[in-house]
Amino acid sequence: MIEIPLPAHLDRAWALNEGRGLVDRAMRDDLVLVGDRVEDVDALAAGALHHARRQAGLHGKRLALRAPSERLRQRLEALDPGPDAPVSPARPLPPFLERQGNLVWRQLDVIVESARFALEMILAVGHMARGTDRTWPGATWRQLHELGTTALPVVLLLTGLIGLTLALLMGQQLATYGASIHLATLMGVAFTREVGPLLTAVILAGRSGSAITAELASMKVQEEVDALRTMGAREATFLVAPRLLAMMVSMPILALFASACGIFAGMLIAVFQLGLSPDIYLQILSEAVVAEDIFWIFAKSAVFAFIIVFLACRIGLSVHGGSDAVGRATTRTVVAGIFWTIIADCAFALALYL
Amino acid sequence: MTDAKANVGTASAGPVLSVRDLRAGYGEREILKKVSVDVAPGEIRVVLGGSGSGKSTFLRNVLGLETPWSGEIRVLGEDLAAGGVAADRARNHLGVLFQQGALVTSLTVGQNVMLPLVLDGIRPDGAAEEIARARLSRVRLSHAWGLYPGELSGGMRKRAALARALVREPRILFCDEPSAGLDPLTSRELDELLLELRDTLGLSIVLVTHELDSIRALAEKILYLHLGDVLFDGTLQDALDQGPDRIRDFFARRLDPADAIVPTTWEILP
Repeated sequence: MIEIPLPAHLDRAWALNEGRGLVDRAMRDDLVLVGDRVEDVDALAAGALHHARRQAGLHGKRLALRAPSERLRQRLEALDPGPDAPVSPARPLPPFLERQGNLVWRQLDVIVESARFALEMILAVGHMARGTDRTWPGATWRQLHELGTTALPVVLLLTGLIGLTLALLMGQQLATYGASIHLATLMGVAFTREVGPLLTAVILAGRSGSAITAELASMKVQEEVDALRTMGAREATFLVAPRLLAMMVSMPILALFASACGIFAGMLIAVFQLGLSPDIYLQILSEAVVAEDIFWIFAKSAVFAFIIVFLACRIGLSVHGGSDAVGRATTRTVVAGIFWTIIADCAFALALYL
Repeated sequence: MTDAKANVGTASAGPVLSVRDLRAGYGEREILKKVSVDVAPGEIRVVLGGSGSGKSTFLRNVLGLETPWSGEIRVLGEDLAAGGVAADRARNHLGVLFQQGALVTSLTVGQNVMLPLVLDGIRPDGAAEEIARARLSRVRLSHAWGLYPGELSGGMRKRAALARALVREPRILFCDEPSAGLDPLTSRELDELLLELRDTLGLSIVLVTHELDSIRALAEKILYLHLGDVLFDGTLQDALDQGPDRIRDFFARRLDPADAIVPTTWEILP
């Protein structure tokens, strides 16, 4: 046993210098601290002493106190960190195959749960329409306003700007080949088949998807969803159906506006940059864009809307915990919404145009 | 069961709530081991116990927010788990006051109070509005009709939630920690309001709380849960006089020995 006398003043400086050294030594040697001279003890110094004792214990060494002064005893007691956390015995891992099997089951569970939720969403719209399960009267109109109408300015502005940029770049390339007249074709095809619906979906995944998740998640956290259930409401009808219907109605319309706005921005470039007349632009456009394209704007957007509302509601309603969980859920919705929208868009492109 | 409707309407003799051998938990973790309790009409029953005793799980299972593992929950004689019209009707006789009120944030106070009626298929105007106004004036909140929950104080929110819980004229009112987050004065007002409602409406009240002042003011009978078992079921007076030590310690505000801090032992040499 090595004896180490403690100084009269165990202050912060002691804790930061000698205190640290003490912890290191306590792990290697059996020590006895002589504390008869100690007059005052800083909180950090008491922490260092307790830490040294804990580490000594963990390393199977002894750390004892010889004749501690009354003050030292008091301070060690006042700043007692409690016993070491009990070490829980490690749980043996199940065999390899069983672990893999469990993983697969869990994935299957997620898929089955998701399918069930999606089906429930669709049925809920029917329940709401027939009035067998109820929601607040006018809830769909309200969601139509909040998720759709108020998104119009940002959708128009962004698609307009993207249209302007794309038209500018493509116009310059086309002009070098003397093919500026085909800007109308390119803009028409790109914006109806791809950019309009996709950009709208990405904007709404960020804007309306996150809004849905944030609202539902905070309702869940504040027990509002539980309260609704005890009153006999079904969350699929009361909360999900109005939002689903509103998004599936408003998103195709928004996407149509978005496509038109992008194409119009292209016309501005065609007229003011490339010197085409508006009549010719519209003429070429009408030849390039067919009625089927307009149909697919609607169809694709409705699918995107379903995906976004599905993810937003499922993530929002499965939140547990406090307000920090709400923030994390919102982030997840935006990322998952954009991810799955692009996957679906790619699937559409392969199915339709390959 | 002869006539479900008659049962719901006139069940005054038997217990309004009867729980038999309720076992429940989450995942594989058993929380409630075997809980049985009867609540008589007009009775105020306080469910208490330390943290982790299963109070909240008990409440969530009785309210149908979780599915029990086994056991039977009867409200006005109807088995809730059995489902069916009679069970639904019985469930409509439960009112719940959640811890933070749980008012729907996107609806005004008035709309929130009308919400249970709307869910029954009644339009939120005319008669429904009159009923809701009557409930709000009963909890002295008439002036808050058009306000949103976010504009109310914690105590007002709970009173509004109480009005909402009462709008279907329930036979049993469940309250989860009614005094949580309220200052002593407001929480006392709420306690008095609950007593008044019991006396005027003949409600049975089931309260989950560990606020000693509330328990002393309200409790007639208590159900003390400990680690998922019923440790005591009887009147408050009996619990104080001859209950197990743990319960008397609880009321004397003595620490559970398991919760006390174990001091670190230093080896002291002379």
